[in-house]
Amino acid sequence: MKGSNRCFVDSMAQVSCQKPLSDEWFDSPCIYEENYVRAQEPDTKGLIIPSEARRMSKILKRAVCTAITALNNSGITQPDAIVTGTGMGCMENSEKFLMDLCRYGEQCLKPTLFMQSTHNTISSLIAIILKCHGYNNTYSHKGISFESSLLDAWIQMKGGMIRNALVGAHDEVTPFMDLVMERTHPEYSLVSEASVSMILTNAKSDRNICEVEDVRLVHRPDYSEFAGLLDKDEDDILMLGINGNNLNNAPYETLTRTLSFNPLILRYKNIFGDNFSSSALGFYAAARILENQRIPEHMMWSRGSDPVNERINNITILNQSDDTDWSLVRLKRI
Amino acid sequence: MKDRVFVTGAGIISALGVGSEATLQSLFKGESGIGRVTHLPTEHNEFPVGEVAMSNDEMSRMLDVGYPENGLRTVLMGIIAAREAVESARLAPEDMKRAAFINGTTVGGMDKTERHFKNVLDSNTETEDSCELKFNDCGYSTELIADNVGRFNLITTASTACSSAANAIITGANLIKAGIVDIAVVGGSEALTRFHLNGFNTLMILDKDNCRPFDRNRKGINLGEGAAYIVLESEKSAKARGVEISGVLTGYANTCDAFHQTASSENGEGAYMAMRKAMDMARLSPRDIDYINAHGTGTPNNDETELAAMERIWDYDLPGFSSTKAFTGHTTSASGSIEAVICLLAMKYGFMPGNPGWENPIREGAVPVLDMTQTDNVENIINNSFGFGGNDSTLIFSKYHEGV
Amino acid sequence: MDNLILQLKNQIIEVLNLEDMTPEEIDAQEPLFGEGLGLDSIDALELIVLLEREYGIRLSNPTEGKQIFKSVASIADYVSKNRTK
Repeated sequence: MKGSNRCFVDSMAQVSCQKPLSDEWFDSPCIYEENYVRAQEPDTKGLIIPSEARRMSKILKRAVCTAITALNNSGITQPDAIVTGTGMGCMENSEKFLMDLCRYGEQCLKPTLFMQSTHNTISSLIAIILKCHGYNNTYSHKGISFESSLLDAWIQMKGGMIRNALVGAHDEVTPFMDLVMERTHPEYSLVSEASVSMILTNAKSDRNICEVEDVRLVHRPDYSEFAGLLDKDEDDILMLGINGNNLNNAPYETLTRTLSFNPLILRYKNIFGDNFSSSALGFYAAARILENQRIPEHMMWSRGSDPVNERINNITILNQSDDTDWSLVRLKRI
Repeated sequence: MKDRVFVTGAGIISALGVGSEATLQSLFKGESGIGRVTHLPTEHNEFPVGEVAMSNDEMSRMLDVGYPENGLRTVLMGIIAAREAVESARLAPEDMKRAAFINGTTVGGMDKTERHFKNVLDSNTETEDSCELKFNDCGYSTELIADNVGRFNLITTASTACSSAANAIITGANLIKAGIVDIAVVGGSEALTRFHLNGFNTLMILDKDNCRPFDRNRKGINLGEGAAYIVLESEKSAKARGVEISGVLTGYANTCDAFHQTASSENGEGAYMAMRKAMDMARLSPRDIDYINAHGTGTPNNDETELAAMERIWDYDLPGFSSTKAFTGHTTSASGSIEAVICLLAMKYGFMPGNPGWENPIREGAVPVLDMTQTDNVENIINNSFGFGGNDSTLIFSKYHEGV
Repeated sequence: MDNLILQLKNQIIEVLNLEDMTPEEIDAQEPLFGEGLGLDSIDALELIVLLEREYGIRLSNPTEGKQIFKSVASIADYVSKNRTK
C-alpha cells in the first residue's frame, strides 16, 4: 500500500435491532428469541426536516439519521467524500415497484418508487441534503459492500486525495425477503437490518476513536495465504461474523484452524443479527471496544490460549460472504 | 499517486455488435443499433431500444456456460465483454493473481427476478421460484462474470446507476495507483429489464422515436443494453509484459451535483466540476481536449445542463462532441465503459463518432459532430457519465506516445 | 363536487405521503406547486399516475398537467369532465 497518510475514525452512529443511535448494546443489549427482527427506528426529530422525510423509505431515513449524527459528532459539515456500501440497495422500494408491476402490469407505476430504488439513492440523498459536491460512490457487493466502501475511502485518504470521508453501510431486510430466505434456507439464525455511518479523517486529534490500519479484500483466498496475513503479535483479538448457522460459520472455523496461534475471538451477529451490511456493525463494535478498552461478555466467543492483555491494542475484523469474498480490516487503539 | 495508468485491453458488446471490430464497423457505416424490442418481454413495444442481438441461449452456447449464468443476461453479456478485454490484453492466468475485477451494474439479475417474482408472491409454500429469487443481487452478477473470466485477486461492484461503469474504472485506477493491484479489469454490464424500462417510463423520459441527443426537439431516452470492460495496468506491469498500450487514463473525477434525485442543476454544476477536476488531474487545459463523448441521453434536462456545463468551460468554442447513445441506446450502468471503448477506438483509428438523428441546435453554435469524422487529431478525449442522484463522473483518455 | 374534492384530497395525501396533513388543512383553491403545498415535478408525475389509476384519465405529456394540477379544485373540475371510471 502506497501513501503515508493515516486514517482515523472520529465518530460513528448506528441503527439496528439494538437501541438506535445509542451504545446501550455495549452493556445491556436487547436479546431476541425470534429469527427475524427489524431495526428499531430512530427518532428523526432534529435530524430530518419533515418535508424532506415524506418521500424517504425506512432505509433512507435510517441512513440520513446515522449520517447526520456521525457528522454532528465530528465537527465536519462537508466531507471530501461520501462512500456507501449496500448489498441490496433500497429493497423496500424495489419490491413495491415489482409488486405493482405484478398487480397493475406495465401501466400506472409510481415514479417515486423507481427513482428511489437504485442503490446509489442513499449516498446521493445524503449529498443532496448536505449540498456536498465531493466524491460520491456506492458499492453493492454482497457481504463485503461495507469493506469495499471502506477500502475506497481508505486508499484515497492514504494517498492524499481526500482528507476525510463519510463512510456508511446500509441494508434493509423486508418481510418478503425474510419469507424467501425462510423458504430456501431452513437453517438460519438472527437476521436483522443495519445502518452504520462513520467519519474517517487523516487528522490526529483527541476526537479519534481508533485508527484504521489495514483494509483488504480478497476473492477466493487460499486459506493458508490468508491466514498468513494474521500475525500472532499484532492480532491478539479477532472479530468474526460467526452466527448460529453452520454454513456461515464453517469458513471462519477452517481459517482459525489454519492459524499458527489460538486467538481471542469475538462475535457480534448474536446481538446485531445478519445481513449484507452487518460487518459494519462488527467494525462499529470493535472500534467501541478499542475506545472503551473493555470487552462486553456477550461478544466473547473463544478466549484463546494466552491471558488477555491489560491493554487492547488491535482488533482484526474478518468477514466473508459465501466463502468467496473475504475482507480483513485491522483497527488499532489510539 | 503519480504513476500513470495505461489501458492495455478492451472488450465490448452492445446493439452495435459483438466485439470491438464489429463495433468499429457499425460506427464507420453510421448504422445505429436502435430498433424494435425483440428479446425483452414487455408490452411497451412503442419504445425503440438498443438491444444486443443475441438471445440468452445463443450467448450461453457461445460461452459454453449453463445454470445459473444462462438465465442472467447481465452476466452473459459481461462474460463476453470481459473475456474479450482479458484476451486483447494478453493476460495470462498468473497475471490474474495481481488483478482486480471492478464491475458496474445496477439491475444485476433483475431480469431473472422479474420472471419469478409473481409466482413467489402468489404461492404459499416453498417453490423453485423462491430459490430463483436469491443470488440476483449486483454482487452475485459480478462474481459470476469474474469467475468465468479468471481467478481475480479482488472483485467488487460499483453501483451508481448510469455512472456505475465510469466509477468502476475510477476505483480500478485508484487501486492501481495505491499499489493494491497491478492490473484492473473494469467496466460495467447491464441488461434491459422491465423494471427499469417501466421505471424510466414513469419519469416520462423515454422517446417513442429514435432518440435525438442535443437536438432542440429531443424528447428523451432510448434504453439500451450491453457490457464493456477495459484493462487498466500500471506502467511497470504493462512495460514488463511488453503489451500494446492503447491509451493512458490521464484524468478522472467523480463529483456530485447534489441537486435532485433525477434532474441535473440548471448550470450543470456537477458535470462542470467533474470535467474541470479531471482536466486538473490530467494537467490538461480545455483547449487540449479534442473530443467529448458526452453523456447526452437525449432528455431535455440532461442535454441542456451538460451543454451548459460545457459552455462554462469552453465558452462557445466547443471541441467536437457527440453522444453515441444515438447508436447504442442508453446502456445505463454499462454506458461509461461502452463509451470508453468507443473513445479508445476513436483514438486508435483517428475519428470522432457521429450523433445520428440530430437536426436543430439547442442554441446557436451547439452543433455536435454529425457524421463519422476522420481526423488525426484525437490526442485527448473526455468521456462523461452522469447518474441519478447527480453522480457525475468524467474520464480522460490520452494517446500513448512511446518513449514519453 | 365536494365529495370529489374530499376524495381527491385524501388520495393526494396518500400518494404524496403528506402524512402530517389532514384534508381540512388543504385549501381546494390553494396552489399545489411552488408556493402553497410546495410540490415538485416528481409529485406531478405521481398525480398523473393517480388520475390514471383512480379515474381512468391518461395524460401522455407532463406539460399537460400544469394547468390541471394548479389546485385541488382544478383537478376536481378536470376529473369530473374527463373521468372514465
